[in-house]
Amino acid sequence: MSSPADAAPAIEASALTKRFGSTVAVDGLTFSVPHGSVTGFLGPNGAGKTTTMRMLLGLAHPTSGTASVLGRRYEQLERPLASVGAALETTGFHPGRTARSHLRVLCVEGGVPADRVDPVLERTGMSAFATVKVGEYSLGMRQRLAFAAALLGDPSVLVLDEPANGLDPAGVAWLRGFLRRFADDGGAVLVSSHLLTEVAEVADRVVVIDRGKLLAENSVEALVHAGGESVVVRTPDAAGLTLAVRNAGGTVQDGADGTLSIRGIPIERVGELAASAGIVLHELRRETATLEQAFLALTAPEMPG
Amino acid sequence: MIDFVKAELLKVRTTRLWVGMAIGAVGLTGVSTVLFLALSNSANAQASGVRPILTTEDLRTLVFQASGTLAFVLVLAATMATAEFRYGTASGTYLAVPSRVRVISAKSIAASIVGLLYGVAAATMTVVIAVIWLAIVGRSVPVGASVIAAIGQEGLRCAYGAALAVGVGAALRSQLVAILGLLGWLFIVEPLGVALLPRFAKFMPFAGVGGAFGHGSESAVLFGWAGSLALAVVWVASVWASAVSLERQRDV
Repeated sequence: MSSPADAAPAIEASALTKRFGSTVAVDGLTFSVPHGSVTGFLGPNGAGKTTTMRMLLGLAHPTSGTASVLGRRYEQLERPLASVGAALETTGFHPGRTARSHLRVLCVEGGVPADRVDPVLERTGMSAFATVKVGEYSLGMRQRLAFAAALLGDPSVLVLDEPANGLDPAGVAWLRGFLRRFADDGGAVLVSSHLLTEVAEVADRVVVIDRGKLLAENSVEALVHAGGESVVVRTPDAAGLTLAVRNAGGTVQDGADGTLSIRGIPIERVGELAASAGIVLHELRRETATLEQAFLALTAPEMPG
Repeated sequence: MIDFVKAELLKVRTTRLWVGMAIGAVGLTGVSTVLFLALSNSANAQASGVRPILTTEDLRTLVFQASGTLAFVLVLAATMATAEFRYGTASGTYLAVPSRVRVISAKSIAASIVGLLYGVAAATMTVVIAVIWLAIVGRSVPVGASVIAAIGQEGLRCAYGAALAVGVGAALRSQLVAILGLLGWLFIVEPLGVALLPRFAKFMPFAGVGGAFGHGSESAVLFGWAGSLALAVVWVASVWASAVSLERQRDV
């Protein structure tokens, strides 16, 4: 992998907008992906993630705004496959072509030496299936082949759309480790996924969008921290404790399994309130927000007032 | 550009469609040749314009009459463009080669090479079958330069058709619509045009350029050899430009 010397972001979207007729799929999106990091690209279904990725890669034309990879529009990259590896879909294969043939075609098109084919097949665990036609592949095998194609040019930037889809647990773990090493070696990864626990484990940063708009761009740690802490309580006198907490300025929500989720006051104060009201507690613990909770809080639809 | 053309040819070679189309083209041409030869001595066939093969010129005419290659070349070439969208491989292609002008140009050149090979192979087979047939019936017709030229013309006609079909396929993207449209045009629209509107048919992409490739009824050929060739160039350039223009504006 060529390690870029410049400090410019590996990927940069600036006021990126895409309209399909009257529908605004991506709305003034601005974010960047630095070198040496894995950036999770999160959003509900239909948020505009795939459209954004396609604009970054020159496959879709922005209505306005700009997208650049390594400081240039994708179309201006001299040898794109040697700069950017992309795995956008698992359906982009001719069913009658073998994995090796598919990669050989990409090598010729992309000016990549043909001797790269076998190493990437081996690296993605596809060597045994190299001469099997893609039409006979499972979803996980197609995913691996898409990933092999992304690695073909030994790029310094990876753009991956739901790469863990269809992978078995061992495959997911391998992917996680690979992306981590790739970023640690100076590469930049933009990865969309709906598996938030996977993103939380591998990503340094996240970009969260909904309805085409940027909701958050931050480190995973900061985003989770912003989601705050809550106190989880289990008590036979939920009504009494709820009243006491609300009188003390806290908020209470019914949690799972008959618990109460309390925010706005610290755990020690909850214990004191229960003691002074003579309320028995069966459970009292602090709960830190997960990436999933932070994501859901960001993307929750607004309730009509 | 050479690498892009090589990649397109590799795409053709690494699937089986080209084999099926080759079998179809060669098979149909072979059957057609045998039928022409078998019927050419009958009075009924001669009454409908089929001549017995007595001279080099007759052999040259047989090359054109027996050809069944173009339809298969059109299907194969259209598929070279439309399969990218049918199977979603266009994304990978444009990631490797972001210039849509280069991709469509490479496809056109590659398809023309394939078309040329199909046309030459099928026409050569016609001549070989005819020579063997004539030898069996004790007749000898020399294979002169005009027959060799006819083989080349048949190859060029298929190369031309392939370039057109790639452009149509890239413009339409739908495999079914492109193939049905091309075959419908070749077998229905143009014959009707030649019969009903010969003045306009002379500008049509297949009948109108027949003069350049040794085909076409004389009434349909407005231009001479050079004029037909110019018309062929105009058709290829127009379809190519339309496909490129559309493709550059569209998302993948």
